Amino acid sequence: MTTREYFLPRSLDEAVGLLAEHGPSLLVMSGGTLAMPLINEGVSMPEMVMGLRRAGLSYLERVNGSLIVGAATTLSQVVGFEAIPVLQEAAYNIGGWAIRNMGTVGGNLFAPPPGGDFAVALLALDAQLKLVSARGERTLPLAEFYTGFMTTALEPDELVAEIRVPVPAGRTAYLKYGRRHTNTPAVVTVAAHLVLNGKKVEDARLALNAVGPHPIRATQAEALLTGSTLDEETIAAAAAAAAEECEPFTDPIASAWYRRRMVNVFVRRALSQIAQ
Amino acid sequence: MNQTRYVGRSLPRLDAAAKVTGEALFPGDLSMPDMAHMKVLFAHRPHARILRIDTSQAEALPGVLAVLTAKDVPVNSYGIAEFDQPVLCGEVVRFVGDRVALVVAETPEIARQACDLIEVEYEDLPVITGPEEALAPDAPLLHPEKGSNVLATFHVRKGDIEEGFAQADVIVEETYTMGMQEHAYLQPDAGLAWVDEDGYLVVKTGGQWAHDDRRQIAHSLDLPEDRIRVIYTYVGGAFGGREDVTVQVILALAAWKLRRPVKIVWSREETTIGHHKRHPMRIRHRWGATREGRIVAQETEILADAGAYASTSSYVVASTVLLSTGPYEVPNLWLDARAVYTNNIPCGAFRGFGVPQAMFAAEAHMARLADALGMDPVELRMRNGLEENSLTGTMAEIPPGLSVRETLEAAARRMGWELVDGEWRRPQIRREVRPGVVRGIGIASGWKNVGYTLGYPEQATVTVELHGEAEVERGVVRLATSEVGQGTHTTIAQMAAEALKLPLERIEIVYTDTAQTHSAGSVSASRMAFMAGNALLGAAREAYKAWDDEDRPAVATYTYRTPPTEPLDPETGHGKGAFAFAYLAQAVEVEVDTETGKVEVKRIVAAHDVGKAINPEIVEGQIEGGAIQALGWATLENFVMQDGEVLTPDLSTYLIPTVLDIPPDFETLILENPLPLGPWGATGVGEMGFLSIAPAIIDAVHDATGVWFNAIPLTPEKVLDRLKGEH
Repeated sequence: MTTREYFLPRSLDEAVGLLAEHGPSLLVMSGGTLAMPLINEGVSMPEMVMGLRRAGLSYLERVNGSLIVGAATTLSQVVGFEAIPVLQEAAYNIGGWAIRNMGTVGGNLFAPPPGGDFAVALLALDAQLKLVSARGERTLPLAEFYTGFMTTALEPDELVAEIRVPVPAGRTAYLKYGRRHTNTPAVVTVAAHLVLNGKKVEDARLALNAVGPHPIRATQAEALLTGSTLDEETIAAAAAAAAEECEPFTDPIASAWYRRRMVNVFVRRALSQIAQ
Repeated sequence: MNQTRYVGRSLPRLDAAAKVTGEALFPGDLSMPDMAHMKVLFAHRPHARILRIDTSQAEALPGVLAVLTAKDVPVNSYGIAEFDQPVLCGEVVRFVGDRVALVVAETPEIARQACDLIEVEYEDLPVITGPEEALAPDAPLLHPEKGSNVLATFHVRKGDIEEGFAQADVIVEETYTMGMQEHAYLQPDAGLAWVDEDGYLVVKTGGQWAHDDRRQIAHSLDLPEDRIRVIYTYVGGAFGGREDVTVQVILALAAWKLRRPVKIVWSREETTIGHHKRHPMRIRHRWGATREGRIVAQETEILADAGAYASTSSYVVASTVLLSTGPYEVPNLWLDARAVYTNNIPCGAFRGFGVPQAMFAAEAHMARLADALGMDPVELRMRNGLEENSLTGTMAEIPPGLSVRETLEAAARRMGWELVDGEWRRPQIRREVRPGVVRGIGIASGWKNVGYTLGYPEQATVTVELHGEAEVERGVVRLATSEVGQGTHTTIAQMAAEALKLPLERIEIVYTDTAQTHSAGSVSASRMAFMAGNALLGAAREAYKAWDDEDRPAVATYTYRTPPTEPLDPETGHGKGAFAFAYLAQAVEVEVDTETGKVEVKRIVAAHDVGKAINPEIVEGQIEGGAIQALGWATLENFVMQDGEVLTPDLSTYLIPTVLDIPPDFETLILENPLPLGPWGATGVGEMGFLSIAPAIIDAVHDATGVWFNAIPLTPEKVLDRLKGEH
């Protein structure tokens, strides 16, 4: 089959209307950096495609201590928008410029690992997703969005319309470790957000990518950090806990053995950076 | 040499403007009215017998013009060295990239859909995943008619190996392994073929040797060569990867059968499985030296994975053999080498043609030997370097143009080596860069033949026309050389202007088109500037003679032939394998992160004797490009084949260096000791930048960490595993 129809809705209402009408046979595409290679290679042959680039979902705004990002906002737009530096850094670490000019914030939520290096930063910042369907809208924490490898809590008639990122209350770190300097798949990516009171950790969110079926939170390491003094010992223990609890995989970029080991190294480096 | 007007100047690239503006055409840009589109059905399985092919559903799809299978190929074989590869497989497939059928349709989408409708029933056969398996006594034979899985064998015997080892105070034995490397040229394979109004079959594409493409097309289609015309557009990189044909024969077949223009554009994945690779090799060296650092014996075994078909394997491995000693005098040598069939992707030409493997093993081993002797590695190399009266490992005299010590000294000094009390000494540097990161420096020499070797006829033909009446007003040059991005068209134009004694802008050059040019051989083997330059000088001389005889236009076609070479004797390996060698030395500084195992090259010094730099900037570009490709081979590029399947078919799994992976500090030292045979003294340079980076990195990583590595690529996890020894 070749693709029979391509929809380019001019509003979110129109988009969710089309989704309600055509359901799962409609492939939703944002920047197209994930979908188009598969379509061009004949790996995926969706009957109908809906592009979101004209649906009015491309915007960045600061509202009441949060950054509001339209789902179809490109990664390049994020790189250029000075609100939350760690997000700019995360966006800059995806692909090369051509990919960042096309790839979007919403699309990155659906990138299978080792992709998803923007989503992992959103996870550490406790981003909330606005999910919209013809039936209405709801808000879901990103932490509850992923249900498994390439599966999410999104209903078949829902779209990710917007992402709300609270401006971090604490300190952040983002480290992507790849085999080359740029445009590189992750061996592991670490995003951390720690609220400190002096040296005491009041709240910790530690997110990892490329070491699980989707960007994951290292909850045991977080628990270990929360309430502790952020010293070398705590950092080492948290890094070891994160390495223990992650679920790394083997691919041509790195083995599971190596990825687990690098979680230990890069969680320690990220936390040390925050502790400095 | 008299003052030159064009030779020796860094003129801007003549192709640059067209490429930057998009005016330059590459094979994928070609189109014709009424053209059809082709798609290949690849086997996608490493070894299987074809029981049945049913094309009826594909043929019934509206828009499908033809489905071609083995029965449609007049002579179902092709290949650069042997006609051993089926154009379309009818009985057995031997690697994932074997082709089973072609679909020609009105659109690429229909062709793709029709491919999915072809039913092929296979019976899987045992898969030979590596050369050791292929050599097992009960291994299935991939080419039963050959009686063995061994494609080529070489033996070299020089002196008395027992006697040599008896003189040795130190003996070092190590086995080195190297992975498969993908050319990863920028432009996926593509082309357009049609039958013109005079009935000629025209194939327009990109490659490295149009006349040999034509020879193979003629063979497979059972047509006379003069019915076929091969034309090259600009080519988006080649590196040896386009020396074998990819889409040429199948395009020709489809256009000839259909009498319609047919276009094909391969995807990155198709390009990756559809063309050959650099040979993975295992090289065992056992070398003996006296306490004073004189090499007295070398025992070597080479085993190369040739993949499923012959390609140029026998020549590649012969080159590994020919250069296996490194640029050193080895009085006693015992060497055995084999290239072996497996169900992996066929291996063939790739920048350096087997010599990078030879240099990796020989030069890494020199570093090990120096370490065992407690001697500086530069000092050891200086003591053993070839002399003018030396004999090579294959008992051949050294052709003029020897500069082992000059290049080594240049690179070593620049990297901080010093002569102290008459001996070379490695600079003392601070090891720790920051906590967890250590630094080291390393060096390696290199040598390689220029041009074809081992008796393969080495010649290039060029035609020169001088137009005008009283005075020569303009010149026309016809020369089949392919601009693959290396700058050859600019280099050729500068030499043509020099040879014809005309301003550059008054020379028109007709490049690769078999209907308008004679063969100049392939754009490979670091040969084209050398060969074309000599041919241009000869043709210009002859054309001016004709001019003086009042010919208008004065036309001369001239064939330049190099001094002959000869194949290696099958028993002793003796023979003059090459007519000229080029010499180099490369030094690197690396940083090793001991927590992650990541090796980063921070500085490169490359000293090359190029004889004469026709265009110094292009020469520098070739050296830098080669070195970075070698840096990728040594540290980054990890082509993974598992049970005959490719796990790294695209550029997000097969990682090549990007601009940010290039060391910030890269210095090229160009030495110019004129090569007597060379045009204006020039020797070859295209492959030389690649040769010694990998062993220099091995030396530097040891300097940094105290650990020796024998295998590349040095992926961080392999390095970490060795450094920590925990895995």
